[in-house]
Amino acid sequence: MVWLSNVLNGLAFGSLLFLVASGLTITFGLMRTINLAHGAFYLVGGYLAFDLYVRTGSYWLSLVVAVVVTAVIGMLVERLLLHRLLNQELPQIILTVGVSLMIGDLLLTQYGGSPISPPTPAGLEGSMQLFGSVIFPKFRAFLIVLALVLAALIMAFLRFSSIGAKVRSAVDDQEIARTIGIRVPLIFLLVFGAGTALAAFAGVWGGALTSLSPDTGLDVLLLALVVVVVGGLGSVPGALIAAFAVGLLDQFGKVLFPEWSLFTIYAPVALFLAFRPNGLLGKVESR
Amino acid sequence: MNLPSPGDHVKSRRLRSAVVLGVLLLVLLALPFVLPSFYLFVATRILALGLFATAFNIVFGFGGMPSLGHAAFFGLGAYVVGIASTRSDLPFVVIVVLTLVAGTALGVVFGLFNLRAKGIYLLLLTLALAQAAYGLAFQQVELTGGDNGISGITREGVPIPGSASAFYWLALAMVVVSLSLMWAFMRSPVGMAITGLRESESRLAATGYRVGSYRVYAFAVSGAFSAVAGLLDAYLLGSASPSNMAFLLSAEVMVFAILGGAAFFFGPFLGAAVILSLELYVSTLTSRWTFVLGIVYVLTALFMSDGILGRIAYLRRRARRKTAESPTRAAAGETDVAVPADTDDLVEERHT
Amino acid sequence: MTDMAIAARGIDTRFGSFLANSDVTIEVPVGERRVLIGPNGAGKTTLFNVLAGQLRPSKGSVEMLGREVTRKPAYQRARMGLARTFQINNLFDELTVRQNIEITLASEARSRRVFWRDLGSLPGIRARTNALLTEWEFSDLADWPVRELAYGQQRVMEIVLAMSKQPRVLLLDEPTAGLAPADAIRLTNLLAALPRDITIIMIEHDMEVAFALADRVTVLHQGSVLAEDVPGRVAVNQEVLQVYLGDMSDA
Repeated sequence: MVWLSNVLNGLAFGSLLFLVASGLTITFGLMRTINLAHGAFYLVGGYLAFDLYVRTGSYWLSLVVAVVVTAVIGMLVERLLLHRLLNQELPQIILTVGVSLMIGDLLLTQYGGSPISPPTPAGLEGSMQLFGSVIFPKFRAFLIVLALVLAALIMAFLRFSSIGAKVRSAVDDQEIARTIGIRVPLIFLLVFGAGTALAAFAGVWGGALTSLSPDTGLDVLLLALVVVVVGGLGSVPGALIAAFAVGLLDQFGKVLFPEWSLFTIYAPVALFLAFRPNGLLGKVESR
Repeated sequence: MNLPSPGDHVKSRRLRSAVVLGVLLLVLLALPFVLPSFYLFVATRILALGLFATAFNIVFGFGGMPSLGHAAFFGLGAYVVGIASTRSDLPFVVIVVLTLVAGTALGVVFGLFNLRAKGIYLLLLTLALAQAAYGLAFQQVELTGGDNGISGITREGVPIPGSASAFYWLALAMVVVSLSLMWAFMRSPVGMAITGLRESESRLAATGYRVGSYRVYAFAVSGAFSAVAGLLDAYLLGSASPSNMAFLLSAEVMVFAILGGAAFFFGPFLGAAVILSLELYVSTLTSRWTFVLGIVYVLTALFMSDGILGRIAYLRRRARRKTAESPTRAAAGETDVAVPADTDDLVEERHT
Repeated sequence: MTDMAIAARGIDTRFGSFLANSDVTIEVPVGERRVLIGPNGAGKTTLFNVLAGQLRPSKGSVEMLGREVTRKPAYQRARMGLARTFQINNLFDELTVRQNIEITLASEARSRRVFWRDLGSLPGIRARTNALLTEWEFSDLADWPVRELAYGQQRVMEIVLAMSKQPRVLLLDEPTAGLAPADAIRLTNLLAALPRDITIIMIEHDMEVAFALADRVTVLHQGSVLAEDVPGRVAVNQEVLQVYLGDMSDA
């Protein structure tokens, strides 16, 4: 039954990747805005929540405040900087890498470089037994459920709420969206805020799963980028499938070929993209 | 109407460029006599990273393919040196050849993976490839030393080992030769076709060029010289480590190119020189260089997307517009009048 | 058989669920000047891309100068003597007029892999480039980036580049599109003066231009061939008239 716990661990890591990727998929997929500072916002969320928890002792309050504060920082970045670079991929990349360098340096001076281990929330400590013999941490099981619920919520939100429709029309054609009275800048601001909020949310959970250090932001970001692209830009179900696939690849790679562990993720991904540049469920770009 | 005759000023420009280059080269040759050793170290670093940025720009500025994985080539060069020089006593020349071969081979792999990808997809595909290489560097501890990398790279095999000045001159010679070769390459039919990739792949194909091949050529040549840059860096620092292959270096070389001016052959080199000099200066004031670098990125993205040389060219064009008139648009009474391309300008624009 | 410059038979081209070409057959003998007409969305440019090799048809076969080329990509067909222009100017915009011609000329086998010599210094290239510049009256503009040329000059450049390799089959996609009437007439005269041994297939919206140049006219409508005949008879074909009048009332 070792393989089963490997599968579960892979799915748990995949769930974390989906939490990170969900925010990226919204900004990157829907707004066509490349946010390489997403990993930095992940760190901000994780560190802020940890800091607040140490000060207040309230897990859930810390989580909410950290997410809100990060979202506000994200919206400031969008409004003040990123908004001037709509549809300019390369400047967006450089700008967001610059922002993440600045955030990373601030975190380093504030919290130091050694890893911290944020706590798991009350009630999710310890393990549970599955199928008699498999022992699996409750927190990880919860994470898998959380990812599935989040995916369903985002999909439902995009499908049924008017904001979902507006985002999609704003993305499909900004000119038309503008002429029918959708306030594109406001929509983009909100979408970006939601994206960074999700990054911070993921940071809180990810910290508890893997620990946090200023370097982990980049690792998580790059894996989440892979998930978004393999899933197909802007496709939430695609991202979910890809996140689980990458999580499993990572887990089994580490167990079976430890000396090849990052390679076993990125090489297949590169091959996949070379043959299917639009990803699993991405729509074909019309030309 | 008096048509401007570009031919006239081309010759004087060519002469002026030659003089400027000659003087610059003399100054660079003389640096070890005037610079304290730490500054000479930085100057050598600028040579290595300037070479890297110039090689990167073959794919990026000329080929129009935004690679976000070029650190793989630089790191590969560093590891070739690290492994070859610590485990064998191969002569320097052989190590250089090995580096060129390895860089070319990895470039071919990159090219083959990117036969069709464009835009965001190309960015992420090159990123994924570089991360795969990074993973190998990080995990193949036996060969690469893992996280710690390979240290203790000496310059024993290098011509005139020991002296920092001698290594600076060696690096200068290798960089000058590399830049000259790349310059000539970009003017050859293959190099011009690579420029054509950026301009219009559909026209290139309709003209009879196999587009995929030229993508591979671009990555191969760029990869070879990027690896040489990594070789110089490894000898200079005396070590090779995964950070030589990391994403942040791939992003940094892109910033070098954009800040200096990706449309120009010497733009990326200038960008590298500016940022490394700034680092030198800022480090004397504060230990927060990473933060300052972040600001530089942000400012580059917002205000300098045409680069320093792009700005200069723009200002010069505007000044010259008063004297030259476009033969095509003047008749239509347009005010946005252009001037002919400077085919032999030092700060050569990408279309020449 | 072998005296067909281009023979495309039973071509279907599908984009998702949309059938852009449906069972199109078009055979153009060597030396003929064929004009393709049809309302917007008739599938003309799609068919062109299939003929040039930029698109692979979902069904059907393409022959060029007696050789099966259905699966040959654009660059191979170009090497076999096919040249094309684009409906929307598609040039090496940032490069100079001279460089545009030089790159085009250098695509031949003995020069396209040369990486150790200046493109402009290759034997023959400079001389032939100068000759073309003179012939097409671009000498004064040789060192200007193409993007600085007037629109009409860029349209002519499309033809210069296509002609510079002495093609045997020339595909022209709306060469006069967007030109002022006077320029369109000039360009039409230029086209009429091209050597007769070059097979020309041309998409044209302007009926006057089309009928002045064409030996035969093929009418496409909704992805299929509606009629094919000499200009005089196409002009009075009831079906064709209906399609065009219908199209106008839509517009």
